[in-house]
Amino acid sequence: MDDYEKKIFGILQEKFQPEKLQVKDVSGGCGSMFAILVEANAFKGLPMVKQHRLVNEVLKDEIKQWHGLQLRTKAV
Amino acid sequence: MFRATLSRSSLIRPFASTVRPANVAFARFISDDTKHAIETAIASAKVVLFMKGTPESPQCGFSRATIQTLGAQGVDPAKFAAYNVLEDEELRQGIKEYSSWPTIPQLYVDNEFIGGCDIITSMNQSGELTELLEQSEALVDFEAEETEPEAPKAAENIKPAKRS
Repeated sequence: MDDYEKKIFGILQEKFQPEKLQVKDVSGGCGSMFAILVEANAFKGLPMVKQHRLVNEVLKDEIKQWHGLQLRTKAV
Repeated sequence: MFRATLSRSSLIRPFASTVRPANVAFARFISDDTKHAIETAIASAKVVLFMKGTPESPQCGFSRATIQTLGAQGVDPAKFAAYNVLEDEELRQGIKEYSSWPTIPQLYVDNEFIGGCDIITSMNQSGELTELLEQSEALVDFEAEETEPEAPKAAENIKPAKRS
């Protein structure tokens, strides 16, 4: 992971303490497209749209600067 | 003025867009006018997609994937409307704020926010999307059309959007 990926990883790690977490820059170089996977107990009982909203909220300042985000969440 | 740029489109008909100069008003907070225009847009059809580009020529992979999914599901073009956020900066920012959702595309069914591309894809795989669209009666009714073969638009509507 590069520094920016580590930063995103760190934010999500702290907020959700996920069982499984992946952050990958999939932009092919420009650094504005990310694929993120979060599997966390914190999502339990929440519909997917709410799970995504939680992730969107903690990353909102970052997402603003990106072109795209591919997000997968799962309750574990 | 804002409403005029919210061109209605369908999954298979050519996109009739109104060309106009780029809007350079970057509103930080959503105005009442914008909010009203968005609400009107969301209520304009059962299935409403805010996307980058048009159904015929999406300008982003996520918008393209979502359009393909809706086409494959057999969403009735008569019950579908797409709005191109690239045509209007106010809409592009406004819809993110209105839905509290940071990315485009955004799908609404029966005035309700469903999600973005990842959620549509996941719901498509799990079968939830079919269930939702069936419940809202947004899919092409093949049986009804078979019994009315002389209906002029039936042949056109029967084919889902075809894309390369």
